Amino acid sequence: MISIRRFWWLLQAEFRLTRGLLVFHFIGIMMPLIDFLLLSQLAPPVTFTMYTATDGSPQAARLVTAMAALRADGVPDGPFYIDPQPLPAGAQLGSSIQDLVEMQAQEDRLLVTHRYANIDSNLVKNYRNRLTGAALDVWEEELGARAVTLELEPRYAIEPSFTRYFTMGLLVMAVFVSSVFIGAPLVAKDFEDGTILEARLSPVSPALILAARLVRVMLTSLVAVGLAAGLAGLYLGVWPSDGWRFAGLMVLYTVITASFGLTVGLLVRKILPAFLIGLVTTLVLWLVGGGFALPVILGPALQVVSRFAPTTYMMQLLFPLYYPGTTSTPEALGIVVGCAVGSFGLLIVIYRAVVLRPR
Amino acid sequence: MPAITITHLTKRYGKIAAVDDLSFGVEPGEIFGLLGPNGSGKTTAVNLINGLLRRDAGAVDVLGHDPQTDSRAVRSLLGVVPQETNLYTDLSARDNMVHHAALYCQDLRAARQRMEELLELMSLRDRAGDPVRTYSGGMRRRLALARALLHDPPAILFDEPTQGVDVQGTHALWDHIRALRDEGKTILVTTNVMNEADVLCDRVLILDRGRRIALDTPDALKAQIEWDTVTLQTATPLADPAALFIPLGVDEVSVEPDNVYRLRVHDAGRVLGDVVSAAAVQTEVVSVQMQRPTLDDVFLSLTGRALRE
Repeated sequence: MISIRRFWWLLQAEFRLTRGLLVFHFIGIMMPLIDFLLLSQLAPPVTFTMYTATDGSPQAARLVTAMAALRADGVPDGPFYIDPQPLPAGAQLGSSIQDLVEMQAQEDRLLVTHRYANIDSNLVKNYRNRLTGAALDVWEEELGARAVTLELEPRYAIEPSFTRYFTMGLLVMAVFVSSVFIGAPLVAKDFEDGTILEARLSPVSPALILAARLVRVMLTSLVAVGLAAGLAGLYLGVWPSDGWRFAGLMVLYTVITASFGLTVGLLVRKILPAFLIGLVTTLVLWLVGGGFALPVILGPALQVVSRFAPTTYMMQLLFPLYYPGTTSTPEALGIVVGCAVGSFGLLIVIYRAVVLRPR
Repeated sequence: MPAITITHLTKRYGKIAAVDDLSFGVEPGEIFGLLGPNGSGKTTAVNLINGLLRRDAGAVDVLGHDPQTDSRAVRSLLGVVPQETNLYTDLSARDNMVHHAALYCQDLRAARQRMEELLELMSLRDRAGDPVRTYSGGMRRRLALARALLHDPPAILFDEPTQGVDVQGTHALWDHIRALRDEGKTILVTTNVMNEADVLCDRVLILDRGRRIALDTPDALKAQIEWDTVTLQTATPLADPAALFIPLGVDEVSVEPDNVYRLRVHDAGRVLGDVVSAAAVQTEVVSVQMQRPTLDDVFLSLTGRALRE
């Protein structure tokens, strides 16, 4: 009972200290959002708007219908690939419209002309591939026995839509970056200002002091990832299938990331170096742990390394939430729980060695 | 029985002994001073008492507990006002106190009330909501003291409490420290200011290079010095000042810049008139000052160096 009251006091005291690092907290919360917006510009949007100008013929109408029905990844529940829109009255190619699909029925065929003002050839090819995909669907209906069905067989067990994968990876990174950005400077500032002496001379259990500090960093990181997840949902339409499970996993994961951020601060003891070292380590763990692409595409040596990164297992646990129908292993959950307990335990050990041990 | 007992305490950094075979006891309800120049081992001794440093030899007992083996008990019994005030400068005085209460106080409910009393006592209540970065040096020291008293420790360690504080603030702090002594608290003060040790402390231990060179009340220490100092300034240089003053009963004459002569004499009151008259024969006497022995003189007589060297 005394410990609970003490913890509550410590937590209140921790949040009062936030006033001394308001800028760090603000950036720590907002940075994942900014990262998200910047990085999302690198990922192609799921749905392309294609402006169409048709002659009103039934053939043109069929193709427009096929364009609207085309799904990403060739799967029935994939996101729509094309959003066909009639060319607005008075609009011209080259102003706000970079691509235009013109359809003209002829005697023996439908002539489709893809006019484009883009100079990015990859983007143009991407448009054309999608348009071809819609045309293939039309042909297949007519060819009957003469049709050729092209099937995709993914090399990997999961062929993810990169937008979903990107969202998942970015959320995992958001938690880590936020925890390091706030946690590491928090402790390092105490060393720089000499205020660590208050904790060094305190008779209160270090586990309790650290738990309060950990919760403060965790809550801030959870706010950051909550905002980033909301943005992903609103901006990309990618939501986790089970919000409660997602929240639970994130709470578990923030124990690891917050412990990591505080540990970096304890070991480095200078605000800027602590932040930079924490950030680089975060990026490495994120890449090795499959935050950007599946670890299976990494070389054999990096695949071994990835087994030691908690990010790897967190990504595995998030898969079923972003790719319904897939499953994660109980081992992954066990490892993440183990990492959470272990990282907090390690934090206490390092705190005792760095802060409390008489020299 | 002393509240704090130090026995043959030694702390080495490589070949250098920061504290060397130091022994003393601080009685309950006294202000005990550790006086010495910078680097004499005062802060090291304090940090050995509060458990921040590990001793190489000897023993420390704080109210029945060893800081090395029973650190939590010692920390709950000690209040520490460090050399650097280590306050959260972006926070208000009240927030600093709340933070301290969470880390130290047993009765958290009572801490709130005591906090307000201490802020009032230290004349900080009007500014208690302002960020500490807007405080003067003296206000910060008073806040550090209030914070250290929040958990009502029976023993308090002050490491150079008036460093960087103006004269008015220094006297206010001394008054607070004396009031604590009168409440029965055990107080250990480190200082390199002889006047502070002289005026504030009940007993003073003089430290030099980690070793104890004297321990007694300030008056008893000064009584060991059998001479006074007369400082004389003249308008023009005196011809052969030693030949002029020594026949009058002066033991030693030292000449300093700006026609200043420092005379060491057994009983200044007896020879002062003769000294001034003798000097006035040669030139105009600008000023004359007689000084009884100080702790600086004690340090000088014991080490051959002045306290500030």
